[in-house]
Amino acid sequence: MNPLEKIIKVCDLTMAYGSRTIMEDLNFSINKGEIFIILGGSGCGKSTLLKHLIGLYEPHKGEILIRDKSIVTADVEEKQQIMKSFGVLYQSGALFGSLTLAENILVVLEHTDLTDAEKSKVVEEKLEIVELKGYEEFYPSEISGGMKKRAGLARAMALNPDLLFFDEPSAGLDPISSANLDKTILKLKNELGTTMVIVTHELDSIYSIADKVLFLDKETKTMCDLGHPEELRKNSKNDFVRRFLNRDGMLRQEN
Amino acid sequence: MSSRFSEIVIDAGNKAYNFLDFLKQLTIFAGECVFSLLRAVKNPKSVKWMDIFYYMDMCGREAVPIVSLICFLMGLILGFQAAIQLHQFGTDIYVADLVGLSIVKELGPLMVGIICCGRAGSAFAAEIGTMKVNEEIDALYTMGHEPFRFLAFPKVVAMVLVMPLLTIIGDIAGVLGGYVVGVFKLGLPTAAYINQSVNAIYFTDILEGLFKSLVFAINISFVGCLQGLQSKNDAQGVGRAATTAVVNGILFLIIADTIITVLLNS
Repeated sequence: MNPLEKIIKVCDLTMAYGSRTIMEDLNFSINKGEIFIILGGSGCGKSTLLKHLIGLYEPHKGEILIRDKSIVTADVEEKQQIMKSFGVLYQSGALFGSLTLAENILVVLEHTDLTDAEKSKVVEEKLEIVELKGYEEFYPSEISGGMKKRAGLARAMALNPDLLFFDEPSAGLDPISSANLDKTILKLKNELGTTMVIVTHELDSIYSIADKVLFLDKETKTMCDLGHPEELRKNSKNDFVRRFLNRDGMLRQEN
Repeated sequence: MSSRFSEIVIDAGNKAYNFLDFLKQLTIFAGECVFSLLRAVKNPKSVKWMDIFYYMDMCGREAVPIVSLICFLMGLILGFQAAIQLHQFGTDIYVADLVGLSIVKELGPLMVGIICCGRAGSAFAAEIGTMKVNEEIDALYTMGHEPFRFLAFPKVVAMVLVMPLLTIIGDIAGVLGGYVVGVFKLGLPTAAYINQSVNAIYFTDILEGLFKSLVFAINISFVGCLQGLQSKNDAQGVGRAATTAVVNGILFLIIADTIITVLLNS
């Protein structure tokens, strides 16, 4: 594996809702095996960028390449093939309420040639990774928010994708559940070399898991910095980035 | 004054555009349905049969009591109204003809259609709309599933299978309503009423009603699912989608009924 192999390339991306521009001229790439965090103030377009990366939204302008294949210009079948090659953990978990946790994972395996026994094994394995073994027959309404997130992660990992997207995985979780989720993310990176793109606000998570952080600025409507969080905290020329990453220190100074 | 006028014109234009766009989406939906049907015939294993049975139960079995009651009362009302008029001419027996034909050809399928539109159409829109709010539709899409095949196809198939059966139940209940008036109010002999009904209703009349129910089933499930998929990502949006599914569903149902009636009877 070439560690510097670019798994995602974003070129001159402009995102808009109708005539309202959200972000423009975004240019960045994500290396294989990297944990890449998308950061910015509330409402700046982080989740919108993620939805562009996974092909749910069409950009106003620009190009998004996943493993050198354009998800923007791909036809329906090509897009489906690209989408099957990655997993997504949505903010709410997005589990299907009428299906059990096991059935939720089986939905992803529907397209595969696996036998029923093999599919059951995959379900068991994935639920074990996220510490939900024994909850196979539970419905999403019968488990907690943190468990839903973990079940969503198990579903996202069902096909062993080497690329995972997370939309605010720690939102609504207590600090222990959030830390456990971070451990799972690091485990995936270290043991399987999974590339992960994460939208989050949690500074603790960012410092413990991020390889690279992309900052989006709501005012200038473009990216304002990109780099390792520690480096940016110390050396960023952008005031917003430094303030964001030093939030605790600034509060202490003010007090 | 002129700004008020231009607002009205703009509003009317927007509504007309939205309606045409809705028709366009319905056409695309119909194409996807045919495509899914062909694929289901080619590969029956890809069909989610359990989902179809679930929706058949929800839209079919659970609707039997309300369909029976409403159609029975409809037959009863028709019988009463007819009895008053026909009794003046001494032609009481023709109550059987009037009730039987009206129910089988028109009111049976129409009443069943309206009941199903209120029950199933709104339920489909609310279910899919809520899934949209919960990002479940996005999840389906990124898993490589087509939302139509996964969500709408089982509902369309279930409705197509249960609506004709519900219509037959509604027809029987409606004719029974007329029978109660004929026999217990007008004092007609049971055998005479049944005989008159059987002679009045041809097999083609029953087929016409069943054909209408098939068209209504497709119409209700299409409109319900489409409104759900087009709903906004909030609670109000889901509520609005459910309401619009019922209103548009009934509107298209009456339009379809008019077209079929004119074509089959001219």
